[in-house]
Amino acid sequence: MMALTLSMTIDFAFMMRQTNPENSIATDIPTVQAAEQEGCCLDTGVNQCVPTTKTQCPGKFYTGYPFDCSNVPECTPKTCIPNETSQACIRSKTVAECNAIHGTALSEDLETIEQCQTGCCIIAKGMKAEVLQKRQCQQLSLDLTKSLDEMQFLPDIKSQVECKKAGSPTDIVCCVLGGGNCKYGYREECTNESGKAIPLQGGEYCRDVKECAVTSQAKQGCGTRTGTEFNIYWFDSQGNQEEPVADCGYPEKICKIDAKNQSPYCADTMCYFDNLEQQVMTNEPPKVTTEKIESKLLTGTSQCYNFYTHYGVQDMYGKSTGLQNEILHCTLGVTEIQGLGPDRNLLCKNGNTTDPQDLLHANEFNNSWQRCSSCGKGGIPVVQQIGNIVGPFPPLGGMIANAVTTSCDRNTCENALGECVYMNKFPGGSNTNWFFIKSVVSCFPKYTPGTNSMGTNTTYCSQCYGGIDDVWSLCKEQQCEGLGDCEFKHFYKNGWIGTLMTILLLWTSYSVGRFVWMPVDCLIYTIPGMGAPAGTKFGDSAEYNKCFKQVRPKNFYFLMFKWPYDLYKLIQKNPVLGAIIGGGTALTLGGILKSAIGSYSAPTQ
Amino acid sequence: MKIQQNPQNSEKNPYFCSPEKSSVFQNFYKSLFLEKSMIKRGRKGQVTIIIIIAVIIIAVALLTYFLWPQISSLFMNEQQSQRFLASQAEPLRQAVSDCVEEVSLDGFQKIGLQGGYYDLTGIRTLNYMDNDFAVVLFKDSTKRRINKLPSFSQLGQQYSTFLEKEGNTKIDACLNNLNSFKRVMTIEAGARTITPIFYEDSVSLIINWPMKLTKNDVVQNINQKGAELQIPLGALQKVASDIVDCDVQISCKFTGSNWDAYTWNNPYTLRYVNKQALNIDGSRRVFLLESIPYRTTEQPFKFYFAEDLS
Repeated sequence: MMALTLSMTIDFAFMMRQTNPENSIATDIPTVQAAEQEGCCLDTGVNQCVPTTKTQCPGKFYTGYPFDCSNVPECTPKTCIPNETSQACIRSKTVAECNAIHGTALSEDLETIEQCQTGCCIIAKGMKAEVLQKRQCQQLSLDLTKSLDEMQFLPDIKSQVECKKAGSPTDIVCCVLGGGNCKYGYREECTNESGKAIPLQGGEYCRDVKECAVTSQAKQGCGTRTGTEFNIYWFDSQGNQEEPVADCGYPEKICKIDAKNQSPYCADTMCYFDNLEQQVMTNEPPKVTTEKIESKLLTGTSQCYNFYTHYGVQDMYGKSTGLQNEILHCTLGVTEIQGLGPDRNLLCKNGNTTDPQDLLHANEFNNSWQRCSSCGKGGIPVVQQIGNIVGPFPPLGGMIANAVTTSCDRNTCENALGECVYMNKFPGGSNTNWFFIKSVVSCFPKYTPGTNSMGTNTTYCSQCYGGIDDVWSLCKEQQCEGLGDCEFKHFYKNGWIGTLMTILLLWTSYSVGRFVWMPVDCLIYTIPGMGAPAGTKFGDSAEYNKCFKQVRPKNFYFLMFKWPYDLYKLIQKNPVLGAIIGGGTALTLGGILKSAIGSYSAPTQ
Repeated sequence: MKIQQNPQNSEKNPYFCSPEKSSVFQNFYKSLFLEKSMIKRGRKGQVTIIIIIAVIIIAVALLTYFLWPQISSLFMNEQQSQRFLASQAEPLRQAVSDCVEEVSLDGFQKIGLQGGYYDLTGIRTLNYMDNDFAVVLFKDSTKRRINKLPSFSQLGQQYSTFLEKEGNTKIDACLNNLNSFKRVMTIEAGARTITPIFYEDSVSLIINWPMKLTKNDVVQNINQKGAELQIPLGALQKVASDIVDCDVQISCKFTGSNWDAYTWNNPYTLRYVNKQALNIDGSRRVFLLESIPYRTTEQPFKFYFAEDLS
């Protein structure tokens, strides 16, 4: 009665939701024809909790966003205990589906329900020994007309092999059924069949029992008694197992039946790979090399079989659309392939995890290529951006950038973030940051993501920058192609737009550099003969400030063209200082010019 | 002698001689014509008789052929009728079993390719390599993982739907509505139900289709023998269930070491099972399970399904 009342209440509540616009789940959805209405069908007659249209649903139909049954109470996933005890408990089944098979839906996790625990089921001292759930074990015992007292359940054993070993029978008899018919097996089985159990000594079989009209060694086959299934045995004319023919020696070999001639044989459980090679990636320098994979695998082990570039290409960033990492599993002599996907979001690595026998296992791991571009990012965005603008221009630009921006270093890029490659593009070398200049560095994916990983959004190619790269468009070809199916292009080769971009970049980089050099300019100004009134001492603060406030800003654009003359005069007066300032300027401008006319990244056409 | 046409009679009888010529000839030719027509009439009559006799013979033969069972039964006594029915019962049962087996094999193959589903109404599918795979594990909009792999009970329901939609019609067509048996006896067939029982290495079909066979007032009631399909659907469903059971848990994924551990722990189940997995991307993949035949006439059986945890 309570269930009925509750059910009616729920139904009424949903009716309210359907008919009362104020209580409707989705009031802003336009009215549509009833026949086309989408929603959740509780039962189509054969499928439960499925999104359908009203016309496809003979049973209860629930409307309202999100239409996928997630808001219907009967479609909540729970642990399902089927009515038939021969069937296993099922995890995460919807309540409606569970009800459809007359099961019971419980909120508890499967492991916490005693009858759903998995373990080794031994019945009647080895008559049967299988890995089952406890409820299935109980039912099997009853099916074999055995009481539950004759059932042994070992929850710690999950392996079929170990279970068979634990359940190896000791009390084997020849069961005389009468009329010359006999059955080799367990005493318990004989009791069931109302036969006469004749005990057998070692090496004796039904052929040695005079009541049995059997022909010995009539055919060969894989063993049928518990624990003998993996070896080859003789069978008499009535199908009773006799002495062994061959011990196949599991796990190296296992008894199988040949489908064509129905004869048993010891099948090799190992898998063989002759002269197969896979590709591996190195960081220093980023490069693809090949290596041979293990030539043989034991059953129950696995190894990687990876590809990144098409055949013969050693360049790490050769085009590799469609190639993927794979795990090769060996299962009883058969190689099973697990492809990890051409999007390369998942990659394969060889290495043992927790195998006590220290066998080879390959495992997948996330590429996490998206994290690489976060290296060097952070802090207050405006401040970060200013630092990125002035960073390549020593000395002040570098000092400002180092002070206010975060940096990307090799350790962060290649270790903390994951599978990424660190590249110092300017001024190069291994140092991330010098005191007077902030290095132009990039951190980009080591394993090029596949096209699918970017979906239909190809703008990731345009993110060929990080940190200072963002501002100064310093994309390198390797970096570009490392982002995915992207193509490296030169601005100046891209028609009039490219030419305009190139000029703009040149002017911008020179302008910023010139602006950043203003403090040094004004310092030069205080050098006698370089602009300040006669008698001014080098570094005079009054003249320095005057320069800043009055002279330089007014003539900023003029000064940008006069600055080389100033430098020339400085070198004449003080060669060392001139060389330092001039050399630094040349490096900065040279690097920027070189990269600025170089690079942008776009999806491959 | 020239024969001249009589202008008056030329249309009627161009060969009629001129009466002026000779009455002898008139009589001769007159008599000749009459004889000819008489001969013609005589020949026509013979042919007609022959045709009639042939038709009669053919009709009798056809009637004999079609009515022989009724005719012969007139001469059967009760014992002979019983023996006759007994001799027909077994071929009838065998024919039913063979047809059910043949049609059901097709049905289960379709069910296997669709992750255990015959009716895909409302079931999500993933398209990969131009094939649609039924999604048996997915996340709903609240990120809960839902297990939609059919249990054995649900497999039985899917098979029943198959029978309802097309299987029963195909079985009847295969049996030709029992017409060949109905020629020799009267058959009253009851309602037909077919119940599958899934074993690890086969599917048993229990065919409940009572029939009343009658011959000359002698009645024999029979029911059908079962059919056995050499398809290890039980083993494949168990492997699929173990895979989904792992992947439905956040802390487990059927890959790498877990895949290997499953092989190590379940060699008996996997002895004749091959499995492959294809990732569409990091969260969606397709499993292809296939049996390895080890019995004569056994064909590989396929069980394909997909998981979408995006």
